[in-house]
Amino acid sequence: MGYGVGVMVVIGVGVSLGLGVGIIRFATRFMDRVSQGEVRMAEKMAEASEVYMLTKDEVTYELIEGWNFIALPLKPYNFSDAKGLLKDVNRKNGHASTVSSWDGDRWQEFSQRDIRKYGVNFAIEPAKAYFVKTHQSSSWTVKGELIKKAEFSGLKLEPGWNSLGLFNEKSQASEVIDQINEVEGEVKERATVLDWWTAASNWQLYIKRIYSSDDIQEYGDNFGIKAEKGYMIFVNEPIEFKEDL
Amino acid sequence: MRKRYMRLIVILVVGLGLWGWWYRTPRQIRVRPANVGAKSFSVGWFSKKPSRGCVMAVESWKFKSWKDWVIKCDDEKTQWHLVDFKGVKPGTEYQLVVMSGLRVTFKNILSVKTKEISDQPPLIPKPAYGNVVDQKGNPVEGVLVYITAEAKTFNYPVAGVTNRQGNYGIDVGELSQISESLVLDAVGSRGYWKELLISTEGITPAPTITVANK
Repeated sequence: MGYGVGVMVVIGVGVSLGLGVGIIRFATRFMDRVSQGEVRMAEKMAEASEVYMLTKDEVTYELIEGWNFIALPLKPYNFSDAKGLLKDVNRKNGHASTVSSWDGDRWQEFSQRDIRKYGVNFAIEPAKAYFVKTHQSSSWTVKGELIKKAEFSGLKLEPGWNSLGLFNEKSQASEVIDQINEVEGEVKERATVLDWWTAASNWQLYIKRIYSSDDIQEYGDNFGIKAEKGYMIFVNEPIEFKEDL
Repeated sequence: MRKRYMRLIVILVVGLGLWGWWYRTPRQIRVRPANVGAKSFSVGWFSKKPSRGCVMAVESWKFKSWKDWVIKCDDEKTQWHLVDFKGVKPGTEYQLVVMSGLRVTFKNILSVKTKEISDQPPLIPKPAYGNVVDQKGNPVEGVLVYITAEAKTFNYPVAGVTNRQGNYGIDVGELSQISESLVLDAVGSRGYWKELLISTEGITPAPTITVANK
């Protein structure tokens, strides 16, 4: 009887130890795989953010009745020009009639009402901004190809007002102006004003003036950047601008 | 008899409470509709103490039901107030009532007519910016700045508020189409400045505004 109990105890302890070791080994392997997966995921994310200007392949615009100032942070699958843009909005329960593009001196317009067309059709380019006139509020989703950072050459800003789209949604107006004004560690007043057209149909301004190295003044509102919004920027000299991401 | 006295006392106490509430609520100064577009407008005013104000708006001649009124309020208690109405109808007149506590502004007020939606794309921005200081030359934060075009015809002001550096920045693109001269008004906790006349060419930056209690 006593011998039998001893054998049972030994077997019980052995099984328990075996189970314990098994569980520990399984947990260790599981944790390794999880951490490897996390590393791979983090690598993929880093890779994606390095490669593309913006990592989302669709953008939704809440268009209001009247004028909307928009930018396209991707290459749309459905259209590549103003005529196609109007058609795409109208196909998706919107009612748009005009697209305007800033040519550095004036607004270039293309309008279409039913079969009548006015103005010259023009290409829609990523990272540029356009006014779209709509006759009713609607939600408009655009799907498109992501823009590779290596392929995006940036924007050429000419002295005066320029329209543009911005990609870095973590940045604020002041950071965009600062990036332009800081060249190789030296700060110079090259850009002064960044504006966006609000849903209230007016320009909201951010202004930064460098009167001297110890007199830097900010005016207006330091607003956050949205990739789907259009912006106007005022620069004092020709600038090759590629946004920091 | 006793009941009657009690009722009288209750009425007196409630009346006194309401009067006290009304008395303690700061009066609204420089109430003006501003930043008027086709789909939006703002109502600005200044109060001598921080307060939370509301504006009621209703389409003219449409008083049939309380549902016709739209009410917008300040997010927090402040001395400057700029309450925005968005998504309103183009080319429509609205009657406005401004309220802070029990103080209600009817007089000199207030209707606003929104613009029609233009066939032309909006004008490019024309910023006007500058700073506001007190009599000691210190920048003043929270000053409500109104800018209008100097013209014989009525025009709605554009409005903005100064930041920590005492600076404001406002778009005057449409006003500069009306006139080559602009009129600046400013009101803040350290006083006010009335009608500073400036040229549209001299607004980057505009001359410094010195506010004072005159």
